Amino acid sequence: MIYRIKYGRYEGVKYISHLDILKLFDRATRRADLPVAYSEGFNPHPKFVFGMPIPVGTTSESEYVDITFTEVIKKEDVLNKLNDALPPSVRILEINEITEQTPNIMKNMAAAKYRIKADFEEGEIEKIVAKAHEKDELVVEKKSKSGTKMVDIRPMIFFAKKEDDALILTTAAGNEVTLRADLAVTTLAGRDLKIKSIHRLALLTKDEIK
Amino acid sequence: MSYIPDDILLSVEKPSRYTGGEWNEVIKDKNEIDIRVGFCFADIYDIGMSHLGLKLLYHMLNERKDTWCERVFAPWPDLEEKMRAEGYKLYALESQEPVENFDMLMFTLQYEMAFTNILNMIDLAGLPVYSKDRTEGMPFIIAGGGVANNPEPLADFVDVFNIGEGEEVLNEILDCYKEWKKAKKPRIEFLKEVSKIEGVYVPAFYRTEYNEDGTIKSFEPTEPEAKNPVKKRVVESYDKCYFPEKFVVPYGNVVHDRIMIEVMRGCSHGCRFCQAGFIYRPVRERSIDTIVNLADKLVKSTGYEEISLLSLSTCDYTDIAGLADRLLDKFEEKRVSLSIPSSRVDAFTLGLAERVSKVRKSGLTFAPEAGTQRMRDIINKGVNEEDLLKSARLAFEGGWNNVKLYFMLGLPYETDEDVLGIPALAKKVLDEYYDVYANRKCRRPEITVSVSTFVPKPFTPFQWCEQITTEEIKRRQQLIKTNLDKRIRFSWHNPETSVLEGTLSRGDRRIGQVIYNVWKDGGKFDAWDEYLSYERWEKAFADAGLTMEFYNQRERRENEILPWDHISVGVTKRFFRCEFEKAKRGELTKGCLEKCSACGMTSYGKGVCVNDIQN
Ligand code: SF4
Repeated sequence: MIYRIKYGRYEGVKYISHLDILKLFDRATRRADLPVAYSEGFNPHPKFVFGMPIPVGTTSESEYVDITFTEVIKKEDVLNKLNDALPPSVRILEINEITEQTPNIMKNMAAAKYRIKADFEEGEIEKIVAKAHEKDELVVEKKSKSGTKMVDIRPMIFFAKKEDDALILTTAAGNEVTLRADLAVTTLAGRDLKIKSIHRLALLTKDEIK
Repeated sequence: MSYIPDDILLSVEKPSRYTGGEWNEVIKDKNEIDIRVGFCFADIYDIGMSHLGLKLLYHMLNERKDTWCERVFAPWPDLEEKMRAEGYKLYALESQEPVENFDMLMFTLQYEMAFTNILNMIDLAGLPVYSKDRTEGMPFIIAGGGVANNPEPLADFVDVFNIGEGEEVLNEILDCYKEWKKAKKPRIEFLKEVSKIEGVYVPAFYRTEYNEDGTIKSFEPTEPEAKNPVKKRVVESYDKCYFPEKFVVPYGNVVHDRIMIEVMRGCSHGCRFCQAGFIYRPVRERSIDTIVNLADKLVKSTGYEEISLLSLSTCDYTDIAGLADRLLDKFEEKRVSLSIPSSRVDAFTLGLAERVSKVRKSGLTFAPEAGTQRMRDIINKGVNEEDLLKSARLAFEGGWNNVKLYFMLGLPYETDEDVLGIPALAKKVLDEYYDVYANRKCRRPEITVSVSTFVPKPFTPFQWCEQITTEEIKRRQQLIKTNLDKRIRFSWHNPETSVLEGTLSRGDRRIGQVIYNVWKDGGKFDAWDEYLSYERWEKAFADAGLTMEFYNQRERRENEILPWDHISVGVTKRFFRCEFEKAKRGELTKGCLEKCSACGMTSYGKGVCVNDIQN
């Protein structure tokens, strides 16, 4: 059976890489003595399918991993056992059963919602929120493997609002286009912000964007 | 919360080295403990967290209710630069607090090239590097580990050395410290008290005088408490002594990231170049039950996917096949694999290697050490060509195509003929492969010849020998390279590192000035080729009025006082001399399991010497 597991990764593990998360789950499931299924072949791997990696330094409460088990096992057992076997900065939040036919977690995802804290000046968040909702082009230099290119990021910024001393920002995230939250916020601010923290609140489908 | 702020961590390589918080790290309430220990490894996290000794002693010290032992590593230069610029000090991973006010900083000394890092870490902690300048209220610097057997090069910087096995003596040192702290006595009183413990060496309590030619004239204790000689410690019972049932599990890519169980201590063979083979005598083993029990607990507590059985020569474990069977049967289903580092050809059995590699097939290593029989006899390496080729053939027939051959260059009395024996032997191994696969399709053989440079070490029969120069090392490396079949890969060591190791490992107290000079001049991470500056060391020697040649390029006289003569590892100087003479004649000495050659270790009444291998 396959479970889609939603988990959070917080402060203590924000610097570890995507590959390290994979290792962490491999070891945690072994510590928890859960019957994880393995791939066949010369070099068998545990059957884990992870969602989109987040950049190093970002925390999140919207991470996903699909794990295949060799036996039927209760949701609550997986949740409790795994939470006991994971460091406190990684928490299992929700578990749902899926089938092999269920589309990959990233298939329908279109955006990610972030909470961003930075050295915002008085009134700056309001200005950023206003700017986020303008319509004109917002061209930035985007680095990619094939060099830098100029991109209009306007279509990748969906929504912004102020929440206490933080900025809530929804940007494109999915299999086709992704806009990093730090790039979005510094572009909107028009200056080199000193970012204190970025936390991913949710992954959203097209219909959920608001 | 991390001690180093996020904006700095985000700007350096691999920030997860610096934040701790791993599975099984030990967190305590600092208000409820008496002794705060920083367990320091003088290299980066990735290296330190691969080291079994650190893991063992970390968990052992944390078993004490009165002690909180935390891990401390050297920050990589990118972070160090920022720490210094913004006033951050050396800190411990668990509490994320500076170590400046800890009770003790314990360094485990694993290689000489880390000496400058030790000074750098003490300085980054905000403490004076010289012990004489550290005052009341500052932590004591304690050091132990293999390299501490010749403590003299670090004598000016370290307050207390523990010589030999740490499992028992460290607890005695902490007990002694606790008493001293309670009594609120001055610093010097702790040093006096602690030096009464067997296996403890307080260098400040000894004075050296030198002859005109630079050799040692006398080495005398100056305090009644100071022992001479200081005898290394050996644990009461090896099978019963402490071994952790959990390990901290790092997140990131450390070099050795697996369960490591030490199954045996010491080595019975007595290869004449090998310091470990002498200082860890006598040979002792953990029982299979103890090992299986530990493995079971460690798999549960860590979730690791691999168990590695460590020792100097694991294939010599009495019932290695029985042990491997038990472990494989138990863990195969859990997809935990077993690795047995093997470097001995004669004890190698293919059946065992096959079972071990069921889960993963990696390369095999053989260590003939020298290219000719003459040379192998000189170093007392009881391996012959026929055995090696036979094992290689078995391995090839068993489907391996990946073989690594370890050799040493620059051994005493080595001639060009011996050097040329290395590529010649490697070629025979290659031929063996093609012979096995004659007229059959096969994968390309991956044969690597890895050649390190011989470094004469204290407490070996070659402790009196001179080392060859960097130029000569390069010439001999070149000789191998030009004569090696092009289908064989060649890897070698940096000649400058080897010569510096030779110089430092047999150094006396005056070398302290050299280490200080190098560090002052910006030297650190000398174990990393990209940071090593040989010129800086040459200059530091000159500035200290010393020469590397004195330490390294002369054969020491038989009656010379050696800088480490006041340390006793149990094996006598007479035995080493006798082995040295036998080496010159190319005579072999049998291993402890075959025939005791009365090296002096019987005085400890333990292990193989008294036919009680689990004790
Ligand atoms: S006394 Fe004999 S058995 Fe013991 S370590 Fe020495 S040579 Fe080996």
